[in-house]
Amino acid sequence: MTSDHSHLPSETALRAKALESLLVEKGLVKPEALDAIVETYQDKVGPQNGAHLVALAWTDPEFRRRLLADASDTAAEMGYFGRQGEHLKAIENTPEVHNLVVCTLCSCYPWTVLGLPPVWYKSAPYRSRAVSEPRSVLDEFGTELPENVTVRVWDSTSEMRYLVVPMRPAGTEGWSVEQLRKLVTRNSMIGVEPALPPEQVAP
Amino acid sequence: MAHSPNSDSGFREMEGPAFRAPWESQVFALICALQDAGKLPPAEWSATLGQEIRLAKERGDPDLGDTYYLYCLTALEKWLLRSKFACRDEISARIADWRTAYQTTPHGQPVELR
Repeated sequence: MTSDHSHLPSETALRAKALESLLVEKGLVKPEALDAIVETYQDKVGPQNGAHLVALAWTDPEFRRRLLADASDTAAEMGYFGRQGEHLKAIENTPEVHNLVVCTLCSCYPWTVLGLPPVWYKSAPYRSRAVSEPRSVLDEFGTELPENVTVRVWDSTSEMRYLVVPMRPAGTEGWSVEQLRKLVTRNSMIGVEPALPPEQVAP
Repeated sequence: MAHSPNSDSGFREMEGPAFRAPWESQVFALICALQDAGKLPPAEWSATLGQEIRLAKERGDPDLGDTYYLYCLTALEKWLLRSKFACRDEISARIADWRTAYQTTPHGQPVELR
């Protein structure tokens, strides 16, 4: 037979299907849980969550203090819950220190606050170069830092995930949380770029 | 701090959708569900996946992020075997069953295992 089988999925898709049906059959996962997870990560969870936390930290010193002291609890208070056993740490950029996040082992990522990682975050070049030559990685993203700024690289693990709090851009005095969160991009919370300049967003 | 959004970058060219095919989201959901159910401890998963990525590197795979869920799928199969939740023959047979189901189900009808 050669015709009419164009809907036969790839070998890889068949392997995924086989695993799924075996795991469901053995009672290790529930089909409704699988649907809920895909729906959550496609529609509900994304960098807008992290941007909300950052904008609040920029405008409320007490919130900033709590976020930097215990990001897991502070994120959970806002309804952004992590998976079991995962801790979230917020690390703040300053005029002296710039933070960059990587996972050198696999691709641990703060899903709760940033959604799913970008393709490059899961690539070998990023995994290795973020550690060996972070400034050159930043350069590729168009981010140039003064010589005197220290670049600190944070290696994520299954237990500890990091959220970078970028510096609040100049010229945003008096902006509301709603306006500010539009400046906070996914990349700025991984640490490869600064937050957007105010002129990029209609106030 | 300078910022030029139009600069060329190898990393920037690697942008793309979170999932490029339905099977990728299926694999992702399985991993999350197994972790949520307490069957797959996060540290064990991280080590299993890390090992798979290291093997890919050793065989000269460029590993540019587009093969990530393939590593996840292979790591998940290995974990299943190692944890004795399934044996190799069982997985192979199930793959064959799905292939047959797709080949023998007329267009427009739901594909189900018989």
